[in-house]
Amino acid sequence: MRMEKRKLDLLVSVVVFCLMALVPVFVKSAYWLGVLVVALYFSLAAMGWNLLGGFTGQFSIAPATFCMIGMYTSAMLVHYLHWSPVAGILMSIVATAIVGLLLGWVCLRLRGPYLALTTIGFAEIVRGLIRFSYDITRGDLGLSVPKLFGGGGHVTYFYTFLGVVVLVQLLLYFLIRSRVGLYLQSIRDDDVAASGRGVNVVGWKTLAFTLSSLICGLSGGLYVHFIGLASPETGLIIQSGLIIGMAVIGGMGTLTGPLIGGLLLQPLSELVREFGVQHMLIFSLLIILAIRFWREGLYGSFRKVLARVS
Amino acid sequence: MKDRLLAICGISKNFGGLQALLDVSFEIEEGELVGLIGPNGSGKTTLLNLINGYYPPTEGQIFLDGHRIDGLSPNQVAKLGVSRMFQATRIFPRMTVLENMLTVAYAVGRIPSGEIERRAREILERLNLERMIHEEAGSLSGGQRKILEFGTCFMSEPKLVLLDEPFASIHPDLKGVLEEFMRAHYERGGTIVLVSHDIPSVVAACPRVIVLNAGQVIADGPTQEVIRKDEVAEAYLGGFAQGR
Repeated sequence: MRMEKRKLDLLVSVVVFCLMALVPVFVKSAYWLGVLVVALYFSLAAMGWNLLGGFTGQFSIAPATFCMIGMYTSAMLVHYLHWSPVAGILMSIVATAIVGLLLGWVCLRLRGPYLALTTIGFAEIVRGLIRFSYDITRGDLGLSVPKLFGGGGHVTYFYTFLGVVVLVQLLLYFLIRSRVGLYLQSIRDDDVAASGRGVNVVGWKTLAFTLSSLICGLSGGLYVHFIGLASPETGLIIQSGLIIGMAVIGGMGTLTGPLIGGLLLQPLSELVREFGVQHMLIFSLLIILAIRFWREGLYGSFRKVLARVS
Repeated sequence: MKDRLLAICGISKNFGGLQALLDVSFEIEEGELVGLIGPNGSGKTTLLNLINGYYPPTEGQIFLDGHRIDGLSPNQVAKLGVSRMFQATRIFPRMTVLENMLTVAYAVGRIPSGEIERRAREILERLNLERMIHEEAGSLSGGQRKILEFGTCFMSEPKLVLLDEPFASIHPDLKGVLEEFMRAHYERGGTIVLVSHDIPSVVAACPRVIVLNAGQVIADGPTQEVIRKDEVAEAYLGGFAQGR
């Protein structure tokens, strides 16, 4: 009997999480554990983007911008108002949800390239504001912030990030399996037909924007208290491209794809880094090849093979 | 006495300089099966789009069950009980056949949640799609997609079903299934507006027919009377009317 695809998604995610939980047992290098923490940050951001791009069909090119907004929200609250990092991270979620709601409202009537261009414009405005508000953000120098666990090792960060990713994945699983998930996917497939069949396209698109933004904001809030610095570099368009690339290569519109994409591509990016300035060239080529030959992404292709076998 | 379900009152629609509809008025009672016919470009699909809320009328008003619906959004019109099958098939290709059916019922919210899946399976069985229930809708053949879209129209206990060319590109055997389904819905008291170029099917199925030509109603009445009118034959029906 064929397993329902969302249940298969969950099952594969559970396997991936179990394997990830064992990683610190075998990987003792602080460097590689750090790389995996960064990979979990990217996975979380890719999962957030995937809710909007993969499940709702709204192609935003600003996921890294929401990560950056999350980073600066927490960084400024902790730096200037001496809030605790945990409170700062919670406020990152709130702030990015509000900004996402507003951007979603602005973009309601936009589709395809118009939506993409609007989000690029938004991304550059936000990055420009942060860079040029030197007195508050310290511009390109970045804003130093305390780490989440003070002197804690990478293992602590690894399990914290993993725990958050597991929680978000579980919430996404229930969301996508619910009737809200049906509405979002119907908007992705054909928003004209969806509205004619009773789906409140405007309302659900706005919700998708908001939820996607707050997941990216959460990832940014966590990440800034891992690296200890909020920098406008994290909001570069290329960073958004990386996040989207991870979701697409992993498997856009699936629950597991972005998780796998982040976990595979970030370490891979580190491996090809030794090629110096050419590493982005190699990495970009890999992305093009993957999109050319595995349009459903790695996980989508796996699911297809499994369906054929069963 | 039957109640008036749909009232189209002096509807006109302009697209820039193009007059798509001009002062169109008619009423449809609950439990009617009405054919809406006319040559290409006569305004049939535009009229359905106005009823559905995809376009606002330039002039005139539309009432459903006594409530004004022009100016409402398509999803609000759907929630009031108007379901629609499009001329060019519109399904959700990356969702399964069952998910396509469930989405409509949940979104429209006219039947209890506990009954939705049972009803979806029942409709799919009647339309010979039950074995495809967990397949992605995009993997269906063109005809099967059309049938799936047809099925979604009946998922939410609609007050009014608008079918735009349901028989186009359908195998004759499957066309019989759709006709039978439509007839059964009508016999249970459902209201249907059928837009089709398949005149024999319209004549066989619809007791009443409305003819549009160049955006205006040129005939409205019992099918057998309407198709014998000279102006209708001239505008649209050609040899079919003379042959009867």
